[in-house]
Amino acid sequence: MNEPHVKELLSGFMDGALDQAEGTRVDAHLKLCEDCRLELEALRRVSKAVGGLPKVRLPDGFLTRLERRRREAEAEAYKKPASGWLPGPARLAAFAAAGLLLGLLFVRETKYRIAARMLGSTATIESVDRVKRQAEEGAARGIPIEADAFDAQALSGGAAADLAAVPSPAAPAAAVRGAKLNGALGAPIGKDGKPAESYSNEQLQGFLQEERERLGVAKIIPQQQPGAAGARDDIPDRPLNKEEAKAAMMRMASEIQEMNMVARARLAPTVPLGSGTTPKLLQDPAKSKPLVASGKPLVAPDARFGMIGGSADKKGASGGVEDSTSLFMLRKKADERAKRPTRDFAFRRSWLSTVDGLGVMGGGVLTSKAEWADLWSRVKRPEALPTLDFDKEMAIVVFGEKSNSGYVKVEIVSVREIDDIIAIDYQLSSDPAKKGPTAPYHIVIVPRSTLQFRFQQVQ
Amino acid sequence: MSKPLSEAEFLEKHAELVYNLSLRLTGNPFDAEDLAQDALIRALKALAGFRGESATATWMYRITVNTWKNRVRSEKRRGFWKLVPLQFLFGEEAGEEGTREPRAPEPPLDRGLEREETAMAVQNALMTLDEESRAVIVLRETEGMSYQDIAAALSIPEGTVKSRLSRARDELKRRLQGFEKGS
Repeated sequence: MNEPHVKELLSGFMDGALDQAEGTRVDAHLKLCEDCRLELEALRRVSKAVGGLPKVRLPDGFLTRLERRRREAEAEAYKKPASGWLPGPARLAAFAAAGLLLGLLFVRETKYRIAARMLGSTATIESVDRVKRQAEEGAARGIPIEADAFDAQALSGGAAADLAAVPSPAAPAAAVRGAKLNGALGAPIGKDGKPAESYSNEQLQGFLQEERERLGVAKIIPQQQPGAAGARDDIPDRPLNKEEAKAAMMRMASEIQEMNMVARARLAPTVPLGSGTTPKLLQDPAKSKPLVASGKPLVAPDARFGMIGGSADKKGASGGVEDSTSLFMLRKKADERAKRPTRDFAFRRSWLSTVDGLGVMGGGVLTSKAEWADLWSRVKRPEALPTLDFDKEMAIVVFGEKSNSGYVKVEIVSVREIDDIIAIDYQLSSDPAKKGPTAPYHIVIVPRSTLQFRFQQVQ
Repeated sequence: MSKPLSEAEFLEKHAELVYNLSLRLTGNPFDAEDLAQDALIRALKALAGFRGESATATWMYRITVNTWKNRVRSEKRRGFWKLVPLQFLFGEEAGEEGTREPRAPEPPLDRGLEREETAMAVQNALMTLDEESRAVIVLRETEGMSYQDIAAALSIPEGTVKSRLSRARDELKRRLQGFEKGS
């Protein structure tokens, strides 16, 4: 058998993804080579094993939680513009200009048409320049350029549609505004750099939408039907000049900020965890000594491994995965485990507290400084961040559920290496004599390990 | 192009699919739910603009995988540590399954249980692959996607799909050998 093997082609062969020459070669080779045939079979088994992973149903309440999260995401979107509100003159100018645009949203459809003209401005570049020059001259002479020249007469009636084409007193002002908008907001420009000829209402609305999003004001202006009840009384039903727009935007901004605060408070009420109580340091880091040093397994073979809290919401999320944790299986595993050699990890340091934990049942293994610093700040330890050598050490934390009335303590009782997993056993205990609220946690420092870890509650 | 789907129809059709894919990519139901919801929220946002150039499912896979890749990236960057919900005993059997020694043959207690053990072993083996290889093999084997669709979903060339898939299968075969012999 001198022919080279075709193992690297087998995966493609299996999927029919080889070209004809390769396919023929693999075919011929397989007839002669037992090794490659076995290899192909093994790959088929792998493919079948992965393909045979069970399909899982959606966990209960998934769609409800999805909907809630969507609402939260929208609330987030509300927050953004409020936090970065009017930080600089450039943005202010842009915003005021946007105010002009947004003001237009309130007016009737005929006015959209005018707005389209204004934005795209059928006036040529030259005429814009001319008007700008006039405007500058006017300004030099102390004549204010007021958009009000864009009078009500021009706005009403169909004549407005051809505004820019028909010379009228309104045209220069419109052109000025068109120019400003082009400058400030990068309004759509035609192919050759000149403003595009005209815009459909859809195009214009699309553009406005983009601008609102770009400026982070997508949610600020409630979409109002033109002329519908509820249109704001404090905003005149006509295009606004810069000052008016600015004032209107400021007013709306503060209203929105207020609305945001209310919405935020409703979505994420802030409840101080364990306020009024100070975390109790179990062991001073300097004087810390191992809590567990026993060589024998702490878990008796017949110990019951319960899901936390018994009634804990299993979420049903893993569908078919969690079920393997039936009591029978757990006992069987405990039996097996008891027979195996174990290695206890001594706790190099330990911090235990019944307050200031995250208030949710959970555990983590931390193997980097960033993670460690994050944990330390989350549990609000009063001491400075202890230095750990993450080449040699790692931190393990277990949190217990928040309890408002009862007193619950969580304690990591042992960290052991069994075969090639790190088994972290923890215990929950309550003390009827003491009162809550509690949000317990326990952090221990143990020698570094790269093995997979597993948490389990012991009685 | 067929009539655009309403949100409810869209969720009805795709939520479970996205959740399953997420489960295979993240390896645990908690991260899976998180990922699936993120991806679905993104998709719902973009649904109005979806023109149906590709099948909705492929489009949805693409969003899910991209959301996942972004997450993995940012978690790596931030040195993110994860709070593992204790109710979920992930990796319960990891140690045993990872060993190469054949286990003593034992009569099957229950076929369902056996299947679950296999599933757990396969999922654990998947988790040892790098992210892109995991995505490739999951899309191919569990979702039955073509090389072309996988390439589109992951924005990589078809040739890369082919080679990654080959390597991933090889790696899984190696990882599952001990388990196969033992069961």
